[in-house]
Amino acid sequence: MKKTISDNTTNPSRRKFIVGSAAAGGGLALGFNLPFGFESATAQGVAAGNTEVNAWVVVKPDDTCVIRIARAEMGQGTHTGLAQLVCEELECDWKKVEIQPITPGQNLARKRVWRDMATGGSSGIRGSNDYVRQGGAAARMMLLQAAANQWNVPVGELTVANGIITHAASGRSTSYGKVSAAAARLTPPDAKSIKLKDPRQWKVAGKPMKRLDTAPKVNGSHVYSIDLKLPDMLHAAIKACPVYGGKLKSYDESKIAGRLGVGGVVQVNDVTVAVVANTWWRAKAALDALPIVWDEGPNAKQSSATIAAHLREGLTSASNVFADINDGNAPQAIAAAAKKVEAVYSTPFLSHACMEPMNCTVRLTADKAEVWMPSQNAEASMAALSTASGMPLAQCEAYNHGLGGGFGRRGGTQDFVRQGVAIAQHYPGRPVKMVWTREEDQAHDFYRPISQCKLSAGLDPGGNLVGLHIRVSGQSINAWLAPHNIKDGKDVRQLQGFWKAPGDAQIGYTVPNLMTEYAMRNTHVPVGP
Amino acid sequence: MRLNVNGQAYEADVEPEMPLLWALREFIGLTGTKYGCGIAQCGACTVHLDGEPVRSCSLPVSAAAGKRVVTIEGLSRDSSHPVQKAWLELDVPQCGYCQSGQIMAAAALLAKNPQPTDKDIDAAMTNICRCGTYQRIRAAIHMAAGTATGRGSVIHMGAAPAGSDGPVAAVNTAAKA
Repeated sequence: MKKTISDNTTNPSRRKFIVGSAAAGGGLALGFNLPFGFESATAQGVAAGNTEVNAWVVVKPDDTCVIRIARAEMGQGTHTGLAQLVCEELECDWKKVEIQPITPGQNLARKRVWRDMATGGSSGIRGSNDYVRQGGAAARMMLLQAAANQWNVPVGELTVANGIITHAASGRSTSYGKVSAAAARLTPPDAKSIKLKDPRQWKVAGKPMKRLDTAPKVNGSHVYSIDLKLPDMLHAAIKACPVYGGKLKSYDESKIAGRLGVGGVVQVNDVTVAVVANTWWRAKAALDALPIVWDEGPNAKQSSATIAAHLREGLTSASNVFADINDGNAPQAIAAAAKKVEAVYSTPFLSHACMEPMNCTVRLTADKAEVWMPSQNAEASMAALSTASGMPLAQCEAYNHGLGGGFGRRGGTQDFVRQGVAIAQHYPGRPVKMVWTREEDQAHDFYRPISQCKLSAGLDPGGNLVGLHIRVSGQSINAWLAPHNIKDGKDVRQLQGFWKAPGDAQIGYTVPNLMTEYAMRNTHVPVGP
Repeated sequence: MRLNVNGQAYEADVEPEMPLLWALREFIGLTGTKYGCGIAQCGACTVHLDGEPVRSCSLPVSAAAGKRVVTIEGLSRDSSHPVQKAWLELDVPQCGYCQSGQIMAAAALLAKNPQPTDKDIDAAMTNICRCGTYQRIRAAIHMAAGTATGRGSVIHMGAAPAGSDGPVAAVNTAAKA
């Protein structure tokens, strides 16, 4: 069968697209992909036929165990790992496990029953393993109790394996799916009565199971945020002033007037401009053709060389420097040593370079604000949506997709959501998908901070270390994102890499006469974790 | 212009300079092929054009007219291509964003060179993976090629493959080769 794809959308009005006879926006008979089938019943508590045993576990009549996950999946395997932990305590059949991400709107509506959704710093599993295991264990206890009630036998006489409950004394057995509706009506056990398994008895948790998210990633069916298709969707390409601290001065919209599919130009904020069109490529091509004048501002003359010199000064400066560790007298020990060694190291600003470029889709109606995004913290995304749109949190929802990489770029810094909202405000009721170019991604990150480091060491005649002096000069993440964490001008976090055991220990040796110092030398470039 | 994508014929009335990637994603609705860099560097947009791997972000759609385009969605009906099966077996993807392109590049390599060495794989597979799945990609290509033992590296997630000395030994063998 021959299909026709075409687009008759020429010269649409400035803020509205005419839906042509053969064209519906840019989504030409493409079908739509809404990956979130989360039942609305879950926000309404226990209802008839409801098989939600507790917030973490839903057992369908066919014994499928749906395990709810609050943390984000960006390739690190957290979804599978958390499901393993719940499954271990639940004693369900791993082959019948499905995972279901929750949304921050649901979490809010249920008084944060799923707790923290933030995912970063390798904390997804270690930060929630105890309470998700308790969730699995509580569900198991309720399912067993439901069977005990049905058979009128003491619950202690029941055993369970792979979701099959057995009463050996009477030779009866049933499955989780058959008792889940009854279990859902029981009072949850007191948290103190829940006894978790000894990890030495684990059969599923901590084992190298196959990941649950692989199949759609080998046939193109995994729907990343950038792949979202919604009815009447518009597409936006975006460009911010190439110099941080600069501003958008002007642009000449007449130069792109009449371009196929282009709906108009939106000033996103005082540094950023976007072009909106019925496909993203048309928006991006029009943005490339749009004459833009930037006011590059006070940092126009900053360069890699000026920043390097700024940091180099900090390697030897006596001002605005503090010592974190000062054991013995490192400078004296090094000066008196038989042999002195000195080296200077540097690290550049590092872009996170997620494979999936920054993007989100925002839809604003009179009483609802929604965002679809790849986020390491869906609650932060929803908060940014609420703040930027003015819509109360209770009328906001954020749908997190499996991320095409996170690396810290998509957690606390929700710049892309705020931009998406600012664009969508010009098109009420219509979803607008904003996608950054790779060039924009490289130029507008919250970079890993630039630094220089001078190591001075003294060795005795036998080559043993007698003193080590570490001076770091560079930018502070806290100064940019969380200045309240800096006390008396001292950002000790920036020397975390040199902390001693216990904790985040990086120095694994006992060093006589050790000094670590930090000279905070900030620049105009945004930095982040 | 006439397009043939995954065996389906299309009459495409779009700008001839539009990159094939965006015709696939925004007009045909095949979003398995990814935008990563837009300048043919990262390979996330790799598709087959008459069997050759091409980077669709930098190929005008007009250049595909009259040729056979195959995307990740058309590589097999049911993820049964040997490369997809090996990818599943070894849990190759992490975030997965680059993997459509990786799989298409690997399938094109094996079509030309059914028994590639590690060197052949490294030379042909120039796609970027930000998660760093390169070792498993290489192992999965060997698995798909049936060269999983003796000729290259194998890293298994769990048990060692039958007849091998285990994953560590296999990696060591590859390192010496």
